[in-house]
Amino acid sequence: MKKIILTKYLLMVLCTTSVSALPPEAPHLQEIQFEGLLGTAKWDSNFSQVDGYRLIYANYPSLTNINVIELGTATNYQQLLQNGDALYVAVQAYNVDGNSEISNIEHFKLDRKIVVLLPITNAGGTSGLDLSIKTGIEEALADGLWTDNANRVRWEIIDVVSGIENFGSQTEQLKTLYYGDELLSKISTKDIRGYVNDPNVLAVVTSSTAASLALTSEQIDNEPLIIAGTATSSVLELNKNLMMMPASNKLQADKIHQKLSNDSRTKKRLLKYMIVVDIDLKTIVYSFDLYLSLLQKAFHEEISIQQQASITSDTSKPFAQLVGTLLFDGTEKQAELISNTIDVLEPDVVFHIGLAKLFKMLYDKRPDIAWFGPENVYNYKDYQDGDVTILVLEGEEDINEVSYKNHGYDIVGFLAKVLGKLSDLELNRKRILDMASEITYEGRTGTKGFLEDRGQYIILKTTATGWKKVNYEENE
Amino acid sequence: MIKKKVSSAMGIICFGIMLVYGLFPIITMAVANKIVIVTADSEHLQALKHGFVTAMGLQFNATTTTKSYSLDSGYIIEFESDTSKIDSTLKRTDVIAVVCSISTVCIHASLDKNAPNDVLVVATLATSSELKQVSNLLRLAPNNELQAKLIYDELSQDLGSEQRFAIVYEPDAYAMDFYNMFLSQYFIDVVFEYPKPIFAASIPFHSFLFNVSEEHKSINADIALKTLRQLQVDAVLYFGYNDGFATLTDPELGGDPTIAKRWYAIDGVTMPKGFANLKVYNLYIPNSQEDISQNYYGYDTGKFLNKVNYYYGYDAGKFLDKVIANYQPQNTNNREEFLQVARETVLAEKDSLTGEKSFAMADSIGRFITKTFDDQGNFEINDVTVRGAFE
Repeated sequence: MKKIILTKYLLMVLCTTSVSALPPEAPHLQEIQFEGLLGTAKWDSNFSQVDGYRLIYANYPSLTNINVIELGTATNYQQLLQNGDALYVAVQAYNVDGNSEISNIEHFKLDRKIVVLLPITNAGGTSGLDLSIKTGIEEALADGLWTDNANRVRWEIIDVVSGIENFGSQTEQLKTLYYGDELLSKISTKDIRGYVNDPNVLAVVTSSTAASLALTSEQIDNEPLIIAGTATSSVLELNKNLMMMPASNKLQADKIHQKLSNDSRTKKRLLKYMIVVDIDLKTIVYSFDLYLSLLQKAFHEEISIQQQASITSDTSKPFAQLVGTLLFDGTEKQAELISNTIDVLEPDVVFHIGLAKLFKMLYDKRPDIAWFGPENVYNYKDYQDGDVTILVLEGEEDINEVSYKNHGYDIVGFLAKVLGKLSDLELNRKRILDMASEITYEGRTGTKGFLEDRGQYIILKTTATGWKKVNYEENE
Repeated sequence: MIKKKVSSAMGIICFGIMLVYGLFPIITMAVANKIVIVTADSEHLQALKHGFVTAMGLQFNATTTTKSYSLDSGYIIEFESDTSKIDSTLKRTDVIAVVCSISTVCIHASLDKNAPNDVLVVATLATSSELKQVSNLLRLAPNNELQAKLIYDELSQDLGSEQRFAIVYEPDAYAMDFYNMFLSQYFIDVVFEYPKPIFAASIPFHSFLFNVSEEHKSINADIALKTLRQLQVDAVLYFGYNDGFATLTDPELGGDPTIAKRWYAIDGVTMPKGFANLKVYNLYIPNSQEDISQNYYGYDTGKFLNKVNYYYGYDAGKFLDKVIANYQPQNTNNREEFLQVARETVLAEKDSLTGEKSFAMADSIGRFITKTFDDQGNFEINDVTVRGAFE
């Protein structure tokens, strides 16, 4: 409708001087093409006697600020734009006999953006984890880390909320948002495209292993850079367009095992540990990945003890021994079962892998025993009376609450550095992905980039005043 | 006079030195001709030696303390019963090939970073996936990945996606590796969100581990059974050996097979006291026993474990016999060249007792037999072939 109004309006303004001899036929304007922020309008004209063209543009969709640019005989026009520009564009040809009619009218909205897709759950769970990434991103934007790029690319943060009826699981929602819904597109008059089909989306930020798996589950052309703020699973390392911010589960397993072995040597006796693995769908891939890495460590420890003993006849070396693994579905019944099994297996410490809220649930059931947890969101006040040891990612140490906030902060810093190295013409998915693969960034959480070595894990323990770093050298 | 004596003595010394140096290349060439079988002196490993020697075309002598056999081709077969000497055996310059039996021994070829990688190592029953990393090792028995895939597939079929299972494993090189391989199979279904039975728990079982102190034997049968009782699972998978399995399932030993409706045991369990709904997976051996003579060879020829050792020992012997025949020239005994010939040698199915053997097919196809028991202890045998777990 607005196009029709514009056409009529322009015709009225521009065509009043037409004469009846042989003015040119209206040219055909092609779809506006972009190279980064550089827009190119091209048109075709089948009429041979053209003295020149003029390009007409107006704000989209308000139709305000109509302008005309005289272009001579050129059949294309290029203009470096600012992100956010939205225009109607048309062309008109003329010769000595008068003006052509206005060409077809194209319009565009230049909305280059980085999209943050975070599965914020209603029911708790990973919400702390995702919210902390969001908090970190917002803090970095408020601190001005993005100022230099503000006119080039904007940030769009989307909370993928679970619990919407008839809309599938959160992972499915995330996939639909990202890839679109082909089926719905077919039955709907609207084109239900996903973010990945929008050329304005230059890079994507998400959080966990499950979310990252959802966003890499289909093969597509021209994949954008995806940055995973909290994902640590080694299964993700196969994706060439996915960059993980935290150090890997393998490194985490090394650190956990090192800590357990260290405790055993300090105590000069066997240290028995049990593992509880969450089987919640949101975390099961992460949980299993970390469990398998831990199992490799346990395997080598057991075998090496047996082999050394076969050579030296020393069969009583202190070491950390896995005495059982239990899977946890988050139900009260299972929590009770785990509690009872702890009494049978008598571990010195129980290591839990999975959701923070399930760790809390188990801890509340058995606050009398020593607990150990991997990187996650932990609030000191929840565990202040207990014997709780946790892992935390480098740069996230805090006396009260540990989270991934600074990883969110560093995502903005990293992307600002990537974009700082690219010209306005290079603001496209491929160049951003290529540049991200080439550079590193020193942030609050260490060196970030497409690196194998992406920082360290630090061990914290409950004390009377808050989380306190465990100093290994003292124990060694 | 003195001068002359000195001169003559010097001459003898020089001659001696020249002789030693002159002969040295010959000595070097001649030394690497020993094939050493590194196995403990147990009944079933006697069967392995018997099979090996028989395949080489020699008469096995079980009644003497024979420690070596000479082949017409100049090679010498030697027995080393101290398995802790596997590392030093691999480093001996007079050894051209080593035969080992189980993962805990064969794994030294990969664990010892200084172990030479030009000695051919033939593993008869070692199935640990860790051994895949060793380029000079030929595994005759199908690896744990293949067996884990088979068990996981059958378990999934038997249990569906509603029933729960637990795993009891003996944390040694063989069974813990098997546990890892099984979980890798399960993990594939986790990642792809396929329907799968519910994994409830795993319990390491230490009582029968070698080389560990009593303090390190944290989980005994009593604790394992108590835990299983609490878990109330539908199936228990046992990754370990005969003794451990018996203490968990034989009522005469305090075991309780009724703890779960179904039990599954891997090839380390060769002599179970059968009970209803027990499924045991074993390496494939032919039904026929005609290859084993009924004469006395220091072991009971009727036992499954002895048979399996005999057959795989036999195939190790046949394979090496073929490598020796293919290896030209016979008198140089260059380990690298010998290994290269071994890599290209194929022991055809018709010449083998347990199926075709070669470096190329070692990890791609595995043949097993499954024994399904009834409540009378009788069992039904099925012959199953499984293809690469991650192909």
